Amino acid sequence: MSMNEDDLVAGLRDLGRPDLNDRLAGRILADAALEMARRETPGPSEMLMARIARDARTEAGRRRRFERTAVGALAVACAAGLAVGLFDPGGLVTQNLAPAAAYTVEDLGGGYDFQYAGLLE
Amino acid sequence: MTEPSDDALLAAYASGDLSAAAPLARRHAPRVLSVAQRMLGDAAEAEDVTQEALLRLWKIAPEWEPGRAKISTWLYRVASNLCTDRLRARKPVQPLEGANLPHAPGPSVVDEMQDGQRRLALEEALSHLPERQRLAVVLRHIEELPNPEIADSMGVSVEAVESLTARGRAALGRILTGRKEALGYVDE
Repeated sequence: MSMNEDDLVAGLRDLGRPDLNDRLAGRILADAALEMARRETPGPSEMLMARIARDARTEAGRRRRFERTAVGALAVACAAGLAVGLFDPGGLVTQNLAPAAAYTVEDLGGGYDFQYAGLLE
Repeated sequence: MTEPSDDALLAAYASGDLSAAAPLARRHAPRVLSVAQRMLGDAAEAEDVTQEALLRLWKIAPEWEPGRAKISTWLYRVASNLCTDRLRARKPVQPLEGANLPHAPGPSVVDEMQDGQRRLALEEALSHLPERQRLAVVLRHIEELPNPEIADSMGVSVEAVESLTARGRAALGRILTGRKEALGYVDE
């Protein structure tokens, strides 16, 4: 892809020749500039690396807190569900219903097919 | 002993091993910084872009699917998008062209000035390329990435990358040819 050092030096020397094709000169100059850029890759400062490390710590901490909160909320919901189920099964359903509108077990389903069959007879 | 892979390090970080973040950062920050600096021509902004790209990596770590993409490719894509956003938000500025370089008599200083001029000339020439051409040239000819990885990073086909790099490089040559005397590339 890139020229070696000798080609580069020879090419740069040739740039003084007036008959040299501009396109070739452009290629040589671009090669020289890119070669120089490859050699001079900027390095991250210590400050930048410290900022990146701080971000990594902060993000890990934020995720840990989020996970802990989520697990805590799940545990509370489980405990609440168990408490309701053990100490007052069905309580949450029946306490919101007016006594006159209380349902019997038969109202919960299964009776309609039977009633329809009775009408046909 | 072989170095752990990027995927292994990221998985370790996602599972709470903070020490896995440092080798990942050491491995990728320099290359991301290099691309950002070539794209933006501004060291401070390039550092901000590098920090932001790495921060996004830390955020995505738990959802990262190993083997689906290379971390380097993903980071290049994030960094190039961040650079594009910044370039679009930025007002056009003229490079200083070495106006602040002091006049000094020593030959080594002269060489340094010449190198500085050439560096600035490349940065300026790069800044004149359209964004995608610039990114393709930087990734191909400075970072020396293979075309398929550049295509992944840029979200284009390999043929498009070849076309972008060829046109970008030709444009770079044309711009630099116009400045060859100023850059000291003419025999006495």
